[in-house]
Formats: sequence, structure tokens, C-alpha cells
Amino acid sequence: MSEGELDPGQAPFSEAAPPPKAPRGRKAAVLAGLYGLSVLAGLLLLWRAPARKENGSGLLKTAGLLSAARDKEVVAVVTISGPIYAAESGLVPRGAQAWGRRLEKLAEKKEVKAIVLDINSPGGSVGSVQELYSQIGRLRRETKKPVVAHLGDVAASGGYYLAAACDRIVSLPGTLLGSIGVIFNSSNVEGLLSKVGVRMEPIKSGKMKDIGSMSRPMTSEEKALLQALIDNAYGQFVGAVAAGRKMPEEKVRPLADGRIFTGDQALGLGLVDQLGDLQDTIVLAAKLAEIKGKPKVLREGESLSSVLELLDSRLSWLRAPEASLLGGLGGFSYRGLEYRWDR
Amino acid sequence: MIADALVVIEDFIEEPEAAARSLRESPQPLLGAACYLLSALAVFLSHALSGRLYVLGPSIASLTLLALWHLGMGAAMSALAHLIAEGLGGKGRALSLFVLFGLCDLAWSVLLPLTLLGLALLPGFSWLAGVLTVLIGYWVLWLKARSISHNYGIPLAKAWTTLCLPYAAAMLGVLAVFTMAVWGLLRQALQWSS
Repeated sequence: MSEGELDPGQAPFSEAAPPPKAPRGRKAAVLAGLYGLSVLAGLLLLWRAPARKENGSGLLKTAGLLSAARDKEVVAVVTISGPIYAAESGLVPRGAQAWGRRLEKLAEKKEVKAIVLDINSPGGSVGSVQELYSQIGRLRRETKKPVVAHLGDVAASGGYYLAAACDRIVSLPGTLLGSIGVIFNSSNVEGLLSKVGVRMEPIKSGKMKDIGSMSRPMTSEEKALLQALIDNAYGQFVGAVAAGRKMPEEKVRPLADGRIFTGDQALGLGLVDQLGDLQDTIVLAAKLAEIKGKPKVLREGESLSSVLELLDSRLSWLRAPEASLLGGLGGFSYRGLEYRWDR
Repeated sequence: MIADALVVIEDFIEEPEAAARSLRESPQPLLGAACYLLSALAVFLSHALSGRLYVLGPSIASLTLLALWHLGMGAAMSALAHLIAEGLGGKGRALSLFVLFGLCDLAWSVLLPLTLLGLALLPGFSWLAGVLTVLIGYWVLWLKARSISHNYGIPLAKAWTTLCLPYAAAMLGVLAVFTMAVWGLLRQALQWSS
């Protein structure tokens, strides 16, 4: 065979042509496909995980929100914890307004069929408590969604006022509740101020302009005026409880001298509807909303907002340390009418 | 466009130096941004599945924040690394580094299938997810150091220095802020007590 001739068994151009290559990008496409599959699997797992299984794995614990979002009928839980006051200026909205907004947002959601208010509060300012009370009432009227209160450690005064706005009240046997009444805190630090050489000299347009001033004793006329205010706000409280609990005012008044009750005692007096824990409350709310089967629970946006609220409350000490420190003395705290259990 | 992106990704895996060269000539910022977002999605899902989204919980808001964090950190780190690498004598483009860092971040997507496997095979997988996160984190760092080296034509040791300096500076900054905060609190406490 002369040079240049091909061996019959040899493939033409076997040395010159490289072996055929897979089109570029194919391997990356396979990897992208695998990535897409794992994303789908992950989403599916999160989507199908049962909501809020307390003793499950991390997957089950954290998947609650996504699966609840998928569910058509859920019970939303809003936690009202701590004193109820209007939001002070801060980094994030807090206080009564924030709770009100959260309630409104949840009530607007189609999938939310009932709302549970998890209350653990000694009460707060009259205005803030009444604002929330009225909001709960409007929400019930307009959306026809049942609102059920669960009372935690304490639901005294304004805390109970809010509960009275709900369709049903569920309490733990040992919950401290009641304290139906109004208080106006006033201090007289005249002696202390004179010791450090401070004398207040307010210039006022009328004799009542500095009513409640802590730099002088209160006059009997001022006391009478404040008592009238308190009696009026007290009447509103009794009226709200009577309306909410569907009890005659005459039956409420003997219970409304500021005394507190345990949940067990309150059940006998008609101030709560049943004893139980949060889960019982959720089940009751689901029953009222005619949700079939085990109710799904939605707790919206609490983890982030509670962390921000905590951060904000810590920072508020840095912003106004004097106010926080002096607040502890009593005379510099909230000034106004309060539905609050004052210990 | 997707086919081109897949070619770049494949080149980055098989011929990283050639990929860096080609990106230096024509960087593809959209591809980089997409890589950051895809890696954020993988991290979010794997952490949600293993119960490690402690603060924000599994929500659309937390996914958005994580995605923005990946993207923002990618841009910031690229800018810082570019300044440092040029300071150390390297020559390259910040935009191509942004894309290369995005491609490096794609390594996070391995975390998701591993998490799924872990959940299927090992009960109590949560701790292992933490270990995997750390290991993949180191891998991503190594890929980034390699990318700096390729993008700026500097030795790997210098690339590591470039990569670590911003982290070290951030740590020093945090330490300085913490020290000042503690000092401020102590001074305030001393003033109150005296």
C-alpha cells in the first residue's frame, strides 16, 4: 500500500478530526435542571408540611406560615402582650396602633375565618384601650368573623375590657382578670423638690390648667373634678362589659369595684365563657367559624416585629435615659386616665 | 441568552481562567445578579426546611431580604475587592468580578439538595445543616479567591488577602463599635453611681 492510501479498516480523517463534542452548555443545563428540581422539591415540602406541629422536626415547625398561606380556612392569632398605650415615637410602630393594624390586616385576609386575641395585659390608657375595643367591635360587625379572646397570665382592667369586645372569652383557671375600674395616678413631690431647691411657678390661664401637678397638693375642687372624670370613664367600662357579656349593668357593678378574680372564679360569675388553653381557644374559634377538621393557625409577622419591638424598646432607653429611670419613681409615668391594674 | 449564560457557567466550572478572561472582555451583569438571586433562593429554602430561619421565619419578606442581602453584599464585596486588588498591583474590571462572585455564590445551590437528602436520610438533621453551611461557605470563599486571582492576574495568596481584608475590616469595625458601646455604658453607669 502506497503512502497516502487509506487502510480499508481505518476510518477516514480519524487523526485530523477530534471526537464529536457535546454542545457547550449542556452540562450546565443539566445542573440547572437539577437545581430547578431541588427548588421544586423544597417548595413542595414547605407547602405540604402540616402547620404548627409543636413536636415535629425543624421542617414542620417552620413551615407553618407557608402552609397556612395555602390553606383556605385558617384561624389567625394576634398576641396582645404588655401594657396598652399609644405608640411612642420609635423606630418601629408599636403599642395599640400596631396591634390595631395587625388585626385589620388579618381581618382583610380571605383565608382568615376567625381571629383569636391572645391577651396578657394589665391594661393601659383609656384612649388606647377604647380604640382597640371599638376596632374589634367594627371588625366583628363588618366581617362577621368570630373573635375569641384567650386570657394568659393577666387580663386585668383594660386587658379584660378588650376581651369583653370578643364573641367568647376563654381563660386559664389561674388567670388573673377583672380589675374593672379606672385610675388616675398622681404624685406630689413638692417635699423632694424643695429639698433640692426647686420651686415650680406655673403661669396659667385658669385655675384648673395644671390639675394633677406634682409640685403642689391637689385641691378638693380638683379632686372632685377628677373623680367626676373617673366616674364617667368607669361608667363607660361597666357599659362596655355589660354590652360585651350581655349582662345587665346592675349585675356587673358589684364585680366592678376593682377586684381581681381567677379564671375559675370568673367562670362562675359569667365574666368568662369557658376554661381552657390557647389550643382550646383556637378550636372554639374554628367551631364558631364553622371550619371543618383540625384548624390551621396563622401567626403573621410576629417574629420580625417582636424582635424589632424589643430592639426599639432597648434603644428607647438610650434615646431618653432620664425618662426611663425617673419613670420608675412613679411620678413621671403615664399621666391620664387608665384602665389599668395598678400594683 | 439563557444558552449563553449556561455556556458561561459551564466554562466557570471547567475552565475558570478562560471564563474569567471572557467575562473581563464582556461582563454580563444580569447573569451575575441572577446568580446571586438563585443562590439566595437555595439558601432560603434549605434553611427553611432545616428550621434555621430563626429570626424572620419562612415568609416572602424574609426571602426578599435574603435576596437583597446576597445582591447587596455581592456588589459591595466586588467593589471593595476591586479597590484592594488594584492596590495590590492587580489589573481587572470590577463588573466582571461582580459576575464572577455571583457565579461563585451559585455553589450555595448545592446546599439545597444536600439538605433534602439529609432530611430524608438523617433524623435530627438540623445540626448537620449548620456544618454543611459552614463547609459550603468556605468553598464559596475559595472560589472567590480563585476568581480574584484570575480576574486580576495576581497570585492566590494575594487574592486571599484581597478577599479577607474587607471581612477583617468589618470585624474590626464591629469590635470597635462594641467596645465603644461598652465603654459608653460603663461611663454612664459610673456617672450615675457617683
